[in-house]
Amino acid sequence: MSRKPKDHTHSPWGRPASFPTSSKTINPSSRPVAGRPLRILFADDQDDIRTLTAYQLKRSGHTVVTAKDGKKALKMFRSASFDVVLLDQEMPGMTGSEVARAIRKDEGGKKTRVFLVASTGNTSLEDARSLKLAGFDDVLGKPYRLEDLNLILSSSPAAKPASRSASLPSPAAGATFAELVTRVGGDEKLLKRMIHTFLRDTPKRVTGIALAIRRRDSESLASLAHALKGSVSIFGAESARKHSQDLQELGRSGDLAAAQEILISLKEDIAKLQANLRGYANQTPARPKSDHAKRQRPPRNRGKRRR
Amino acid sequence: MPHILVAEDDATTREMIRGILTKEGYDVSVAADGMSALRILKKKNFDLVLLDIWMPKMSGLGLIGTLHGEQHIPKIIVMTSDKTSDTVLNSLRGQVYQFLPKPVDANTLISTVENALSEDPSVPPIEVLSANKHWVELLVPCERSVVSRVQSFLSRLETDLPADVMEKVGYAFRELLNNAIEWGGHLDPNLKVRISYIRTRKLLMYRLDDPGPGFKMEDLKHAAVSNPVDDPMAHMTIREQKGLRPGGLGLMLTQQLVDELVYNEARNEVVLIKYL
Repeated sequence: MSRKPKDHTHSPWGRPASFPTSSKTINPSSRPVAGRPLRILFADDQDDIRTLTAYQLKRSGHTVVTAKDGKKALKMFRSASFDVVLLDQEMPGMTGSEVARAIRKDEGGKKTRVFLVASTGNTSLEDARSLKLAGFDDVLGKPYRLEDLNLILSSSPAAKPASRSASLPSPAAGATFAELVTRVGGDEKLLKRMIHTFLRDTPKRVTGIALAIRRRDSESLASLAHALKGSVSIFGAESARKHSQDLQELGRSGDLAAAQEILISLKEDIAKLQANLRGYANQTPARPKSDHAKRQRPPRNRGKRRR
Repeated sequence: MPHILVAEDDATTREMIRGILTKEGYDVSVAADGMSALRILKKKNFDLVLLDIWMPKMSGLGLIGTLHGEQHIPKIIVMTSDKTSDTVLNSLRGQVYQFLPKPVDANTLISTVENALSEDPSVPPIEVLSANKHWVELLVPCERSVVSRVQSFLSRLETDLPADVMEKVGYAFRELLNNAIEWGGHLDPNLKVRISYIRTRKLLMYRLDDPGPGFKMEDLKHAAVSNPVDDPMAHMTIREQKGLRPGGLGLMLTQQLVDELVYNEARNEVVLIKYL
């Protein structure tokens, strides 16, 4: 697709490219050279826009979760942490503004609020005012180009260097606490239970693997390495996952020549991961830097199930 | 309240899945190996089973085989990090509902489970005409959820390809299948789309045959693919005039992502090719 020079007031389709009152976000000088990876929740009921935008955002290195209507978006927002929530205005069931109000209500008086962006074809000043009132931080005029969206994303607080450094992944020792909380749907207690289970089971597994290698028991090696791979990959420990996978494959092939060496590397990875997870297990619930990772969830109505 | 059985030998993963789904309001039972899963399934009717493949005593695929012919067979979602084509093909043959790659995360898990449980029970199953690693052929009902289900299987056959190729082909296939189901089959689950996946050393090919009468390019003025060279945004104006919401980029993007996109004369069959 050919790219025209950026026009601050109009998109190539002759519509305003962005919110008329939000000049701070359409200033090209605020655009970073390389954006920080953000966790983005994106809701739009139109399949092609949702797929295309998610595709482009993922290519830019962001983590994207999509929802096809407002209710799903709200539910996803409540089950995980995000840096940016981008909401289409006209969605069935619940409009973008209704979702935004519910999100702001959930957040209450919290210091850290998610960055809320509305996407809409109606960008008059009056529309803009009502969107601001609903709790949006910025508005993206539809149809939009990737550049318009990137500019807005780069103006979100999480895109600024200082605020994200605490939660960047460290591949050697696994994912950060905030990332893991997101992975399990925002439930810290569940995560801590999982960590305890992992710390309880792993030494037995590693011993079992060492024993299987000594006894040349390929089948047990493959099975134990496979199980270990499953749990370390939950915690995002890439190097441990790779080494368990290698051992599993050696076990399946029956050729254990290189197994001892891989086991040594695996033990090192596991030791690092265990140390990290012990630290996480002792985390107190109040963590100012990743405040938005723990949401105040409204009470659930357990008796009433949707189908 | 829907009953779900989680059969998984890794205690941490089992705990995670049980925790997430229980919080969502489901009634969750767990089994640590294939034999225990089978015992539990014989005692009680479940709506859904989340099944690990590599388990002690009896594997997930072994369990599926054992259930064959039972009166009540629950929907089965296979969870695995296993990339071998045999697992995918055997799951397809065993009428597994969907594939869920590991490690799972809460969002994907919840939406996959919700979709599986909310599907209208009258939707016919996916028919497997061929399940060979070079040639998979399926007959699928024209129903939206089929797109992600079919893709959850077929994309696992492509894991040896570079990630960007998988992503491009995946996008293009999804777009074409959505069109076939929506425009060709009018979302009528009693109508079928025939999907062929063919893989050779040099190419990856998909062929989709939809039950509709086809279409004419001149009827696609609302899609970007019909825009004249000097007016790349013409379809936007037409969409506005027709009261359609912004969009219409699917087919154009698809053309750019693959090497060949060929329609038959009626345009109710399409072939997508990516050279490897």
